[in-house]
Amino acid sequence: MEKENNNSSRRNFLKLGALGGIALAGTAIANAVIDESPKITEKKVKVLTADGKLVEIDSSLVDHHASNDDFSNAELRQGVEGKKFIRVIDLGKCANERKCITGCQKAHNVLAPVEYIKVKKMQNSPLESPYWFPTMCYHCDNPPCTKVCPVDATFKRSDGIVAMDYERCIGCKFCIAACPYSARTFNFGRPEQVKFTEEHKNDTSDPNHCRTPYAQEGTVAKCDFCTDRSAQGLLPACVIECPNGAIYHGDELEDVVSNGEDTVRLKKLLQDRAGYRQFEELGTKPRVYYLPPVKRDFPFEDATQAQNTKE
Amino acid sequence: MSKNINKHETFTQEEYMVMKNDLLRPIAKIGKAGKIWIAFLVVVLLAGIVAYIIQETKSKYVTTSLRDYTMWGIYISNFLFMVAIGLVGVLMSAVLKLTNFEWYRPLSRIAEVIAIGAIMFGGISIVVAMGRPDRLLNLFIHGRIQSPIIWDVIGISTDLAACIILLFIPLIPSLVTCKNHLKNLPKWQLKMYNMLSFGWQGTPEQWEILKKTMKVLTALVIPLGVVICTITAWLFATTLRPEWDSTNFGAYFVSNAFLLSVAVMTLATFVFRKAYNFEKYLTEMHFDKLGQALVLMALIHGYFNVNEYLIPAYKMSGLHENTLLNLFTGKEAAFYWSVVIFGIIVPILLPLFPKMRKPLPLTIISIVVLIAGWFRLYLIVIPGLLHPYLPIQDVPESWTHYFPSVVEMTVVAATFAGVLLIVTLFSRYFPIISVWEVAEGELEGKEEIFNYK
Amino acid sequence: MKKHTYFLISCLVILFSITTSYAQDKEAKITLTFKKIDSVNVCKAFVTSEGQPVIEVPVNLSVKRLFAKLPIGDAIATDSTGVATFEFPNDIPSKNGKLTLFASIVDDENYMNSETSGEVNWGTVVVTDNSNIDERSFSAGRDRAPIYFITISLLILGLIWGTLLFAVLQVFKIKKLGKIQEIKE
Repeated sequence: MEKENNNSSRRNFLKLGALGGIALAGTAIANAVIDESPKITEKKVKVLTADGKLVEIDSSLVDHHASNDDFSNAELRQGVEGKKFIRVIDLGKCANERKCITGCQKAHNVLAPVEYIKVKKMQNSPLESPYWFPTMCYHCDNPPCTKVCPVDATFKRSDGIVAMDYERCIGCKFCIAACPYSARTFNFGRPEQVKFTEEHKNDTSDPNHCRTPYAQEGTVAKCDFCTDRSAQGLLPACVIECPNGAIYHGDELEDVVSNGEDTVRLKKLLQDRAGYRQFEELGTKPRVYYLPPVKRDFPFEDATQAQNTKE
Repeated sequence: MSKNINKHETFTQEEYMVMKNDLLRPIAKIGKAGKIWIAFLVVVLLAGIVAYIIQETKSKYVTTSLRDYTMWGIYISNFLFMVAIGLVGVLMSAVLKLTNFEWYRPLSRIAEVIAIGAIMFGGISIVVAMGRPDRLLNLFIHGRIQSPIIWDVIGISTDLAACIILLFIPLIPSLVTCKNHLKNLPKWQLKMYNMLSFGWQGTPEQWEILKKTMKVLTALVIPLGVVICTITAWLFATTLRPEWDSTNFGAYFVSNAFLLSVAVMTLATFVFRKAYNFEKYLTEMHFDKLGQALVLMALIHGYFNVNEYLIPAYKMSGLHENTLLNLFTGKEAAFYWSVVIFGIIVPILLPLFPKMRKPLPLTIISIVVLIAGWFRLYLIVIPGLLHPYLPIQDVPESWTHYFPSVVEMTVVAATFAGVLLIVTLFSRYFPIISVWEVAEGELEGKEEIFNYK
Repeated sequence: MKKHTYFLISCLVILFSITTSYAQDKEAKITLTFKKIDSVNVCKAFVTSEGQPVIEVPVNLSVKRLFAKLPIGDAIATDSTGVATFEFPNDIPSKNGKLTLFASIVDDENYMNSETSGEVNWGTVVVTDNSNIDERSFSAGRDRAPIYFITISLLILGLIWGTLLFAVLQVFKIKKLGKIQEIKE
């Protein structure tokens, strides 16, 4: 998709260059050779056109309507009909570049050290080689968190998403205790975050912006599979931001997952690459699958610096 | 009514009058020490309220040490402690009463008051730990019966109601005694006694109803007390975390609660004996019995400890390895082993010697057991949270460990002050030792208690 | 000298790109036809340019999905009659059986990018199974607690609170008896 777009813009540019005369040729070629299209905001956004085409355009061309940002509660609870969102993560492609983390934080207007998606260094035994392991809320089909919630503030939707109702959450944190994947995070009202949330309440400028807001102070937040984006067929921030295409997001019922570049059949992918789920023995039935870190795109390089050092 | 009492040699009307005088003295007059003590408790309680207001109005990230991994701190472990203490009413009043251990008589009301205070402040501890206490009503509007928290809310309120009723019903005859005996009290107090005594005349019919109701309630609070202790354990056992995922957890908590109940009873008995000069009623015999009970309960709890820790340690599965090694030989080892030694070994061994079952030594042992018990519950909550399945990586320093903040410690101190204040104030307005129950014990079944006025 | 070479190469490249970009400007039109031959779904993409069939141009076939288009196999070049023939798999799921197919020419040397879509009834109908969401269970919402669990809970609660109520009523009975006694005296 991206390739096609760059190509056509290069072509247009070449035409311009030709018409502009030979005097401009040097710069024009220099530009063409390093394959750069003119940029307005340098941010690309994928949108679904009226006739169902997914195109990538500059984010400056997209209008955001704040009034659309309110999902009615009933709608939030029900889920998108006829969809079962699913995710596959190719561990062989993760190089811990942390773009998913920062992209997610931007999309949700969350500051570090709060991470909906985390990348952990895993090594199962001394002889096995270490690998990077992105984790997030697995949107389990047998969610231990919704089981223990006293007020139905976290619940399973028909489209597979385990959602949060920040308006109802009483902040007992039982769901955090119940989640074996440490996927949930609590808004303790970190002053920087409170200030940031206040300032960016209506900030939808991020091209990957997700309408689900950050949790209110004293409530629990977590990865929401970018609920509103998924519903519209837009890939979540982490998927788009991953430079290596490690995260595939899709719909189980369509049997397709996509990392933005490659779109593949889900079952075939899991079959060919021996997909598995983390801690299958816990019976939580996660909706996030992993492809073992074989055929790695990168050699494992240990992280040399700690990222979240600021309190 | 009382014309034929003199024929009993064991217990005469005169002796009864002396007993009444002794037991009602704390209500008649508050000494200087008593006033200072109450003032101190009120100050601590107010400090806790101020700390809580600070916590709620400022950022919890700053006022508490709670973070994403250790999102439950000493509020929750203190809640567990309070619920455990709350079992004292069941053990020292109901169980002994139903099994005809006569020495329960002067202890039962003390135990019940402590239980009510502890359960109340246990409930308050949970609210204090909540992120959004302003949404407390959601528990009733949107409550899910499937959630152990709802079980706990229902269990605690039910148990509290049952304990209050069970405290109140045997209090009715005592209130009449107070009304008739203590003439120098302020008017409102006498009026309160009159109102609360519900027209008690001490007729045989009234006694019959009173005793029957007491028996039913006594039988009811035993399972109820065990259930709320177990449900509290289920708050942990219903999660998938390896350190809490134990079929043994309910029994482990109940046995712990029984052990702490005996310890707290010993401490309270000692304090009341000294403060109110109750040596005649809270005798060395009581300490002897409590010491024996302490050994028994510590043995039972030690047994469940073996099941809870040593059997998983024998297998040392990958899931348990993390947390168990941390407790046995890791960062928390000194902490863990002192809790085992002072919380289990000491109460098993020391009270075996009769000398150790004298009031002072046994009280010191009990205090040690209580402190160790508080930290045992701390060791269940916090290291459990700090050893999740997926490793904790790349988080700020303060997220990787937990040490309670000043605000948290003040609030916890205030919950203790609150329990003590409830017990103290109760003993200042109501007879803390049930006069008629003790008198009934003295009669040894020769005469019906309703013949005494 | 070097400068001159650079300039010359630049001019040549410019000229080349002008020719290629004009060459690419040829428009290609794709027409899709769908047929079922011996229970095999066949999709034919007929490519024409200025009325003439176009041969040897690779055509991509893909099917519309929520997040992206799923390519169906590799690109197939048109044959001598200008037709690219695709065997369409019969296991592509769809909500109502309908699928939107896209045939496209992308990055061809001679032809501009072009795309045509067509709707066809070749999808395998999938039924949304929400049974695990709708059934009564411990992880479901408050309105979907298991019946046996509600019954047992209510039973236990009723018993306990019934007893407590009984106890309170006894207190009032004591009061009544007290009043009777007062009257007697």
